Amino acid sequence: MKYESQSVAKLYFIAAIGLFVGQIVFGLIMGLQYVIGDFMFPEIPFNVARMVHTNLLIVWLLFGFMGAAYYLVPEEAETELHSPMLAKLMFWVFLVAGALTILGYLLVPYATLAEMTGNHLLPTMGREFLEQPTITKIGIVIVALTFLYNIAFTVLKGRKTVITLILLLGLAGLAIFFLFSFYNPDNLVKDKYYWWFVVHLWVEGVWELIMASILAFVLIKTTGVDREIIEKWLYIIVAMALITGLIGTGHHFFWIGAPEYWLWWGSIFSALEPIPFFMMTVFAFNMVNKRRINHPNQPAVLWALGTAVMAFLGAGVWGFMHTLAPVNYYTHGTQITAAHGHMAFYGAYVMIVLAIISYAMPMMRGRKACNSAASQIVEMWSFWLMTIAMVFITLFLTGAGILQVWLQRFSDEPMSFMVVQDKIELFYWMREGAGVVFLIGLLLYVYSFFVGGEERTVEKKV
Amino acid sequence: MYIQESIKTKYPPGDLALWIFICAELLVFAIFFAAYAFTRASNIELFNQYQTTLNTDLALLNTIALLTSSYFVVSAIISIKENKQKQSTRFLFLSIIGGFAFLIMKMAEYSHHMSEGINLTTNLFYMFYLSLTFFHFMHVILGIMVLIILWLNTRKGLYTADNHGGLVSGGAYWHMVDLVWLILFPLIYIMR
Amino acid sequence: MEKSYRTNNIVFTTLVLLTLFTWILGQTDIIGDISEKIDGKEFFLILLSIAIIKVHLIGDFFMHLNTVSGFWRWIITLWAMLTGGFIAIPFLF
Ligand code: HEM
Ligand code: HEM
Ligand SMILES: [Fe+2]
Repeated sequence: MKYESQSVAKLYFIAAIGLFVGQIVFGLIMGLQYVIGDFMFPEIPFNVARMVHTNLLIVWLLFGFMGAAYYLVPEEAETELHSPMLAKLMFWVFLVAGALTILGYLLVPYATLAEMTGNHLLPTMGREFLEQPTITKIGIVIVALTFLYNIAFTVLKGRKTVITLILLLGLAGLAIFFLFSFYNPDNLVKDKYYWWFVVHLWVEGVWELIMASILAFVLIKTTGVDREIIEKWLYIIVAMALITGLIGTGHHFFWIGAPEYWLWWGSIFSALEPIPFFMMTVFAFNMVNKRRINHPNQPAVLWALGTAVMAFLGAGVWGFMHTLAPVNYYTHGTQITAAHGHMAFYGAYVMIVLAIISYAMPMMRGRKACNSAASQIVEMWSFWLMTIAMVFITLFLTGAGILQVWLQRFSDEPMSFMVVQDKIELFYWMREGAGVVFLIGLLLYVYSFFVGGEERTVEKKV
Repeated sequence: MYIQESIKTKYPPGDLALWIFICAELLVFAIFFAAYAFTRASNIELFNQYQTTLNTDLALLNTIALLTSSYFVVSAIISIKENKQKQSTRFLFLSIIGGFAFLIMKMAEYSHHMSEGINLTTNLFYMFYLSLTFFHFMHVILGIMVLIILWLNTRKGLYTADNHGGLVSGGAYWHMVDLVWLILFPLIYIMR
Repeated sequence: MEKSYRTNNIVFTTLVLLTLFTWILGQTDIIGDISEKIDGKEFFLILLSIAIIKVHLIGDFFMHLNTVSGFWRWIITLWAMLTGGFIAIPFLF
């Protein structure tokens, strides 16, 4: 660690991992509810568990992005953070607001929560991923703006690199697109538009910039490859991500009452969205092949390569699978969507956050470059367990989805939703099994931080 | 000079990264073109009928504007190879004019369509015509911005006979915008 | 260098002439609907071939691909032929 103030990232990373564990526990609860309908009812109804699962996901990823920025921006800008105090303060504000919101979901019925928090004054609640009470949303905006201010001023007073520029662009975009969550028109078509302007433009737009810049940072550090080469790649990836991703939003406008031309625009542009993800895969492997050093932090390299591959599979391949209008006509809102959502989120955003945590955490905890060999072995086990478990979750859900489409929508005598759900129960059991393996992998990941031992040393390569 | 020219390189002149970007862009257009052709096949009457409402003369002038502009970019590169910065700057300026000429004529066409109340939802033919040409239109704007940067750089004397990679790369992008139109023009305006 | 300018001029002139030819083929009010006089498929193939030749000229000369050997030399031409091929399927069959 080169700068004292980078260490504020540690708080963010610890919180991120803590919330990640919570997210997975609720995932498992829901997984059981899929097959044992009244499991934990009425204490935790499915809709509440779902909200907690997805909101925790978003919140911990945001913690991860902010931590990543606090860690890498000072190092890139070659200067201390503008205000470490503010970064710490905002951490606690965000954590407390997040915790209160989750408690609100769990302790009172959603409608009551809406009433308590004055949703009628500025209605923003009730949309998937954006269920937070309006005051929480305002809190998020304040935290985001303060964070951006802190990061931007650090960049301004120091060295400006392509990595920080793109990271900043991504983070600013994240904040700006979140503002659409405050507009909740009565017209259902418009409502959907604005909802996707947040959700889609995040994961298939500005978050890709964040991912690309963090990935580039970790690769520069662990491979020692020239900055110039990496920067060029970054520019093209970003350009492609924006061109395809912005117009690609149209793949969500097929059946919501939008004009017909979206069938074409949405299909064509979103069909090209895998390109930037593919470029990231090529980029990552290229850099590792051209490496000048063998960095002793092997798990960090593994996560970086893993994210490049899994993001392409989850977003690129599983996204492409159902993105053309004639296909989406049948698959819209089925388990295929859930399969894609899981692998894409895990591959692109969970793994990139784990990559930077894996790279930065040892140094923030006083090591020179990395953890002990024993700790690294545990961490690599956790990598494989989580990743393989996620592959199986995706495959089981895809299986479930294909059957669902067939029985419910495609066959000559379509069956009703619930009848079909009964028929594909076996897949849901298997998904739950894979989920348990995922949790074990995650717990191993946490455990790896507590495995002691001698640090591995840096071996330079000729 | 001759010896130098006869040695072939493995990678295209300019930045390879940019060439990869060009390939990605070309792929987008290829898919759009194929979509047009396949959709046309099941709506031949409609496409043939509305194709005749397009202004082929303006499209011809537009093609020539782009070709001329590209020609000047090539001339600018030849000049820079002779270290004639002044001349190169002038050529680049002319190529920018060519780009703007395209934009103005295309906008005249668009405003004509708009005055007739035609938009993306009018029918499938116009949907494709407007989408494809507008997507290309945006590329012309981006290309002109690239040309302006090249022009300013050349004026500042940033490029020399031995060092003008930026000019070649930027030029390649502009030629891409041009060659896409060379398919688009016959496909949408004339083929039937 | 004189040679470069000359090549440039020749290529440019060819491109403009081919463009004019394409345009003439589209002048249905002057020469009538060509697609009714000759076979529609031939009409299409002529137009497509001209377009591909033009793209090839741009790639080879304007983009200097004639100084490249191997795969990249053909990247633009290949694109034109593949795209042309895809377009041709619905037009011809
Ligand atoms: C990392 C990037 C991505 C993430 C995190 C992601 C995540 C998601 C999620 C969570 C949903 C479900 C939304 C809902 O609740 O309805 C979804 C839907 C969808 N995604 Fe992605 N996605 C990503 C990239 C892509 C890409 C690149 C494509 C296309 C190639 C794509 C195509 C789709 C489509 C078509 C749907 C709608 C499915 C339906 O109709 O039900 N996604 N995505
Ligand atoms: C890092 C790991 C995970 C990520 C990134 C993740 C992400 C998500 C996302 C984005 C959704 C919304 C999907 C949509 O709207 O289509 C979702 C829903 C869900 N997740 Fe997860 N999840 C993870 C792990 C798990 C695990 C381990 C389980 C359980 C075994 C699980 C079970 C569920 C269930 C049952 C739903 C609800 C699907 C529905 O509404 O029908 N998740 N998750
Ligand atoms: Fe999307």
